[in-house]
Amino acid sequence: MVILSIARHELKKYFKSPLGWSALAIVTAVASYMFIEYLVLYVDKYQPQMHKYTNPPGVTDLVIVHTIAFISEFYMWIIPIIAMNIFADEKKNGTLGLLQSSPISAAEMVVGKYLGIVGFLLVILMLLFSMLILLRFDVELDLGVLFSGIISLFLLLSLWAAATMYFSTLTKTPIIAAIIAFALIRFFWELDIDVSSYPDTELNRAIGKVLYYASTPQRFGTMIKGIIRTSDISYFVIFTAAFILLSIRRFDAERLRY
Amino acid sequence: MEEENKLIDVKGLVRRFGKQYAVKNINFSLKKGEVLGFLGPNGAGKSTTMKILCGILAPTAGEISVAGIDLLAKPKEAKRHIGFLSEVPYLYFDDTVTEYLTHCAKLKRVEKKDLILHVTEALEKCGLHDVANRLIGNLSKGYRQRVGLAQAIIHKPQILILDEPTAGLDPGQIVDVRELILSLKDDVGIIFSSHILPEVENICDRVQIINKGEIVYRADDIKSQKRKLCLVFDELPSESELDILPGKKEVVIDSKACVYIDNGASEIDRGLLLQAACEHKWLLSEMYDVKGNLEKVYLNLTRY
Repeated sequence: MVILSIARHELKKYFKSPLGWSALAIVTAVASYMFIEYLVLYVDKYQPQMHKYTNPPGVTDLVIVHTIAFISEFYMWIIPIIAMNIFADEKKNGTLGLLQSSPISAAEMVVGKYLGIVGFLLVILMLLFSMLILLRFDVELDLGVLFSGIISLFLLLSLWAAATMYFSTLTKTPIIAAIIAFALIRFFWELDIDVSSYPDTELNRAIGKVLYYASTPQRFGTMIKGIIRTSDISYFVIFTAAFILLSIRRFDAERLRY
Repeated sequence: MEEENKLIDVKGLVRRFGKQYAVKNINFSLKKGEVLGFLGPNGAGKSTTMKILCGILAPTAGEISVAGIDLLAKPKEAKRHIGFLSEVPYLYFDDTVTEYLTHCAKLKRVEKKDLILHVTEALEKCGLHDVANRLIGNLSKGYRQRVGLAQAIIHKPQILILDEPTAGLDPGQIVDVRELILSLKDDVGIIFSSHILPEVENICDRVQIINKGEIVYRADDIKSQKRKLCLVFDELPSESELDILPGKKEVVIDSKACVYIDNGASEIDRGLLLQAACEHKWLLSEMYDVKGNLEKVYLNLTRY
């Protein structure tokens, strides 16, 4: 399968560059620091008060969910940097012609490269997961919430990577792709605005609805707590697919542009 | 030329970038075992034409058939038959030579069972065995060019498109590349672009000069032009004596007397010529091959 060959080659690229290794190191360092921070906070502050409540939040909610929520905001800085090279780099070095002159379609090229970065995201998440699952040896974890958190993180990162990939098809300068992608990702992240404090008019309600459907934290926030809804998954899948399709179209258009 | 024998058949090729025409109405074809030289100044449309043939760019208008397959209708099938070496080879500097060639072979859809065989053969043909496990980024320019060539032949294509394969190489490497091209020539059709006129005369069977996006000159049999022989005499022999010389003769007398012999496509036996010169006591002072008039033609057509 030529798609898998492209994906494998792309994945290897991350491990041949200092960028891939440093990204892994930084992400893991930050994640483990926050993990321990929340763990200490839990033991020192929350646990002594647990007996006061009939149904207190557990370790899963207070440590794992918090760690994932924190780290997701940190990934927002890292993903555009990792993914900015997908095409911009090849355009700059002029190696894109190898793919374009090979008997493969633009779709195979884009999907192959995208699967490559998805592989790298899986490595990042594996590291995070293996750290979080360690808690299981000492306390009883709500595995459903843990898995749902990892899956939601995976969907979130895949979306961001697809968005960055699209912008990297537009430019020869990787950092420009990263900046535009980051701006867009941040924009959708900040859409999480509470409109209830504004006057209750027809317009405001409509705006509120749009914001609710468009904002990333709304989708991500529920999933991370262990509530998996089709509408949330669709949000990620649809936007990811849209960026992949846009990238494919971009190459077909570039070939034909005159 | 029969339709089936044509590896490449290009009709009415046009490519526009905005209002600028890079290629205007280019027609040509290529047969198996033939080396077609593309000549032209920088920016004449050579690279654009080659990129269109490889499917990297789409033409604004025109028809291209590659090994009998319509490149525009079935690009995936057609591209299997083409090997392309671009002006700057498409290389991943972080790969080793073997890794890179294996990746290329997969991209070019070489079957899994043939993968190792194709890679070793390409390494062998391009003299890359010694550097097979080195990173491409650490190789010299000559070796990188060879890796590029190996990439172009990895899937044993019927058509090789080489965009200035000898640019920036040292004289020894140029000879290597030339020998490699000539060794491949029998099984494939080759399109070859270059700025170096003697090189084109040496390698190519046919030449076309492109200027401002149009073909302005075609020489269909440049090998025959090379068969012209010039004899320089200190004293011109009598006309009856000169009749012994084969082929068409042309006599020019300025400071010395020169006789140009054009024997069409067949070789002139120099041994016999020298023998005749001895017998008749000719004062023959020089004898040399006349280089084709390509340079003159080229400069006339492209300079103004």
